[in-house]
Amino acid sequence: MRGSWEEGTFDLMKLLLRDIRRHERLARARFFRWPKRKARLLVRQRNVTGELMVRYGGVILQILRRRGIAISGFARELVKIAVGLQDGARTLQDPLGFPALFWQVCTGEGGGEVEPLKVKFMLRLFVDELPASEARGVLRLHYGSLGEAPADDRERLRLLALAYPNLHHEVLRHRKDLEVLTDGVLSPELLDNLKPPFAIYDRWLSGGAVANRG
Amino acid sequence: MNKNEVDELAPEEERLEALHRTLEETAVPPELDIRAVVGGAVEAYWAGVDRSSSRLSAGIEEYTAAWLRKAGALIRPREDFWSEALLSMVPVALALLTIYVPVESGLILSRWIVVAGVLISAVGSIFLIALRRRAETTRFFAAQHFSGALLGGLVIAAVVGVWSFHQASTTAGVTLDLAETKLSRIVLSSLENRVVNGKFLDVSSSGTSPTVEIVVDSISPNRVIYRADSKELPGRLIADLAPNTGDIVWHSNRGEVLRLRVTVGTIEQGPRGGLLLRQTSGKGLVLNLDDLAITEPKAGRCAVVAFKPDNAVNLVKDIQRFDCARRLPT
Repeated sequence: MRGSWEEGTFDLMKLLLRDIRRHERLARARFFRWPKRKARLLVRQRNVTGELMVRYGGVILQILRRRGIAISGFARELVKIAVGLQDGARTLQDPLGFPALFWQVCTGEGGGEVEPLKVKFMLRLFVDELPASEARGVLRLHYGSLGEAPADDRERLRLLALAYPNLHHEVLRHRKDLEVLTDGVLSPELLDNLKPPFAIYDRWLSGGAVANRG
Repeated sequence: MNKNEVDELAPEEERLEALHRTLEETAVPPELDIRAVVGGAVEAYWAGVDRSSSRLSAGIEEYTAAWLRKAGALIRPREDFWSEALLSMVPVALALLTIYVPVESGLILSRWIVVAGVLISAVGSIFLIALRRRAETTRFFAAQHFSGALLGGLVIAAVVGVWSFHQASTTAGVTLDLAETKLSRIVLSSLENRVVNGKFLDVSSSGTSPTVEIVVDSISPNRVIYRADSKELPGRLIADLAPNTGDIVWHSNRGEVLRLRVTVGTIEQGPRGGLLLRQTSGKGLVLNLDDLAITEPKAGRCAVVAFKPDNAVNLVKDIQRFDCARRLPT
């Protein structure tokens, strides 16, 4: 579910970063503070941050659960993440560093087995670049979105196997910036060595729940 | 990673189990509206940014903390707040210590130095906090740091205040005891001399402690007045003696308090742990020796005694015995 936003996830990140910088400038300005413009920016910041948090919602909740956070503490953690994101973005120069910042604020004080979720977290960016299909729907299912996925579990698994090559190629399409975009967890060298059926994506998307079969 | 590390899919059952686990872990609780929670947090955060940049008292922390509370949450900055308070206490405490140690060791005699030190520290702390606040404003945690540091300073000030008050009252109490002891020693010797040689002692003493000074206010064959003064005391001790009796009285703004009574008499056998003193008027006075580490005086000797007058227990503060070579004055 993407709400009213059709932009890709990385485009939303760039948009948020740009808006935050503009807002920052207006907030610090001595003259010409343009309150109406600032208010419009704030509305968009609010919506874009909300959209990003929804898109990453499933994996964020997965992180929180693995950190041992109870459901009653989810709202508090989401607030901290949202605030941390605004805070960090104000000094972030390169939009390519946004996913790393996002991961950093989500993992917060650390704890729990969250590291196996890092690749999954970084892959979220590329899932939205895939053309609309049931395969993309099944991938999004792993991020908490039930929209486009079939109900049958075995059918889901079948579609997943079909989605992996597409996802793999989509990720490799960003080979130039891949390491920066994924905070170093994925690299062209690593991906070039993978062969169909790209079963390692099973492990990545499950956050380590599927055992290594090497 | 080995290129052959994963090249085949896991068995379907295992994948299904992993899928179910993932669905469980990623499920959004129905009561959690991510957009609403996040939207409120973003607004609260930027309201704080705007406000702090306007140099108003409330900052980002206040807004985000308020939103956190709304979200039914604990606030992490609270930990920062207390750690900031503790951290700010350390330099202030060290500063106070460096001022206080020379005072205690006698290098500086005036207590006002400590007071001045506290004031300078307080003003300096506020100045530094204000400077730091300006620097921190750009890092969004100004209000939290400022209030934490301020709390630390206030805790220090409260501790120093209570401690100084306690020290002052303790010092005054100790000095009063010292002055009383010194004065009673002189009074006993003077009364003995009056009995034995017929005249009071004309002495002045700064004694072992420079803080207590004893002077003779007036002296005649039948009356002497000694006075004990000290800078540490909010009053003075005055001993007013007749040939065989006298009082030591504490005079202060609050009035007069009888501290000790002095009398001359002949020792008679008294109860265990005490003695019966036959005064020159013929009256017997039962005295308690509990507080005095002396052997019980022999009956028949004369003594000058300083005691705390009490209807039930006349506790002896000091006693001086001597042979009654001549008849006691009446």
